[in-house]
Amino acid sequence: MDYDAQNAIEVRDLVKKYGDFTAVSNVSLTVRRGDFMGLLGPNGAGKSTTLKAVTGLLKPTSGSILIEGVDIKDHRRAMQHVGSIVETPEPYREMTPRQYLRHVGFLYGMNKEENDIRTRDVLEEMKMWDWRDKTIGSFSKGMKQRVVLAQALLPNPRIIILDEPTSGLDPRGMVEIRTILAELRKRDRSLLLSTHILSEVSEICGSVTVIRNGMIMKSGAVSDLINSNRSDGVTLELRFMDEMPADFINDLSGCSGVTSHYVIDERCIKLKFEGTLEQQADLVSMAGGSGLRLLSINEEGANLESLYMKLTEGEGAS
Amino acid sequence: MSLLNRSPKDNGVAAYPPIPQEYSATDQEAHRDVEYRPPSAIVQTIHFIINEFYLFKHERAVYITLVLAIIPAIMVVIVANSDSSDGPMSLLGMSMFMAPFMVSLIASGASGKLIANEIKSRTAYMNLSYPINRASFTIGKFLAGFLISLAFVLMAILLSALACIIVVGPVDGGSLANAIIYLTMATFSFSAIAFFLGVVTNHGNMAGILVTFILLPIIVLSVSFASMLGYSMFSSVVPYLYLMPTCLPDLALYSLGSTGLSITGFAGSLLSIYSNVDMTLALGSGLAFGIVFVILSLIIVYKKDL
Repeated sequence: MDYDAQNAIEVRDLVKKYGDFTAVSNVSLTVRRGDFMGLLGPNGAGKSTTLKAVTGLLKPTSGSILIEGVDIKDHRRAMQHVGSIVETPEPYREMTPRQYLRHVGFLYGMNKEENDIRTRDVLEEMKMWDWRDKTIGSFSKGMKQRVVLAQALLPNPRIIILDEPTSGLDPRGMVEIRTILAELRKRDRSLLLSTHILSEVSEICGSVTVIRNGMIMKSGAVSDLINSNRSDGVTLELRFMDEMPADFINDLSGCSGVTSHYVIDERCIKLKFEGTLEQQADLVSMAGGSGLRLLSINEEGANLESLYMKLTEGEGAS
Repeated sequence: MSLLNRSPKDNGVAAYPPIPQEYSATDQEAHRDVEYRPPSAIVQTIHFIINEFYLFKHERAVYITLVLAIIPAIMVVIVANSDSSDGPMSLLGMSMFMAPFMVSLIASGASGKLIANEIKSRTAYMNLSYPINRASFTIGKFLAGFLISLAFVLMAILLSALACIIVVGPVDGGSLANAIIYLTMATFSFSAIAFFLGVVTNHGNMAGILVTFILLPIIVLSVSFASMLGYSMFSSVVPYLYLMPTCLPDLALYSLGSTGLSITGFAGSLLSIYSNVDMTLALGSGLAFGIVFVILSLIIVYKKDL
């Protein structure tokens, strides 16, 4: 089977059926080395099924999965550089974090010294070092999730596969995890991340795949997808320090690309805009050069959230 | 400083906090972007066995099993101190009368839920995503369950034999050895059956006891009764009924000159199914049954979707 050495994860025509029900249908996606890909979709879309197939937790009905060119059927070899969290797993509740990470490190082939130091590193990073010798069974959900994240990062993996990694964490914990993931990107790691939190994908990922009813709706670089979504129009909200004269409002609403307008109050106006980026720049320049002091511009519709909403409502499905 | 900024590549070694006494690797050794090579499948299998021993140690069932295993020895002491004139072998056989149930209970308890528990408690989602193959995981788990069961079964008969030697006098080494071999094979095949049932049903404990202590013996009993009632098609089968793994604990008791409290023990006394036993064939059959059920378990675990 031919493969591109720059591909960290390659899923080709993945199909998973449970009886008559097709959970995933002809899903193909590629995570390049160093790329962070977000996998988005509503509940039951097939995200977890895809991730479980990628990590070898379930057998595909058809299709192939390559991890750094190694077929996932050769699980031992394929997963040796992969750290993963799929389907809210749990560590052994009878063990302490240190014991559990020793168990994991051994399976990856770490010797005791490396294991000990990496254990310290990841537990410190996850703010769990002080809990290293407490039984996991006594931990809260968030603490367990930190141990789970620690085991995924323990072997210093080149590829990381995460399914809802911030689930159960408090807001501070979520930010910390995002920071860690963002740093991993600098170190040429590859990530396949499934999440419901769109801002997580916007912040961390370079590319995104939206999946719905087991099929890929859209896939590509986050910026490209957002720009492609602009062609259907955005809403610009302009807020001024000063009151807007009536003729200024007329001028604004007559600009190229503006299809409608709505005056919120005497200092704020919303414009439905379907023009080009150049036309939008002209519009903003005009507003700025009008003598009125421009306080803020909000652009609605040109973000991942609006794209996601559109795709998962069935509009613009490709 | 973040651990991610501490690699030698980033020249962040100096920023690493002091290494505690218990660690001997240097930063450079521990933080290089190493490519870890998973140990061999055999080593991983052994690791899963040891891991299971650790987990079993934390189960409450271990104490109940320990009590169960010392009951025969206690019985020897109690009976010997009453006005009994039984010899050591007779006492040993009597004390082990519940061996068929004991082996079934211990093997089912230790092996039945090993895989089911991993899935229920979601630890399998972690273990099976590591660089292992499912054979290491499955065989490691099975062997751990078998070895734990065997330890308790051997403990029961050896403690009982020791009590006989101390309280009454020497026991027949040959008969004791035969009984131990039969019990070992019984534990192996019962563990394999219970393990298989656990993999299939996700509730291994009860299923294991039902099948090894009740269902299979009922089949043995029914076939032998059918033969007695003149159904000739079963007559040719009766001489080989002892090859059913469920008969192995009874064969152990027969070696000690006793009969067990079991359906097959009853059938054996009544219908003489143990009159012409080939020990090698009986052990071979038990081994074959065990291996078949382990292979079946392996196939199911391999095909299992989490």
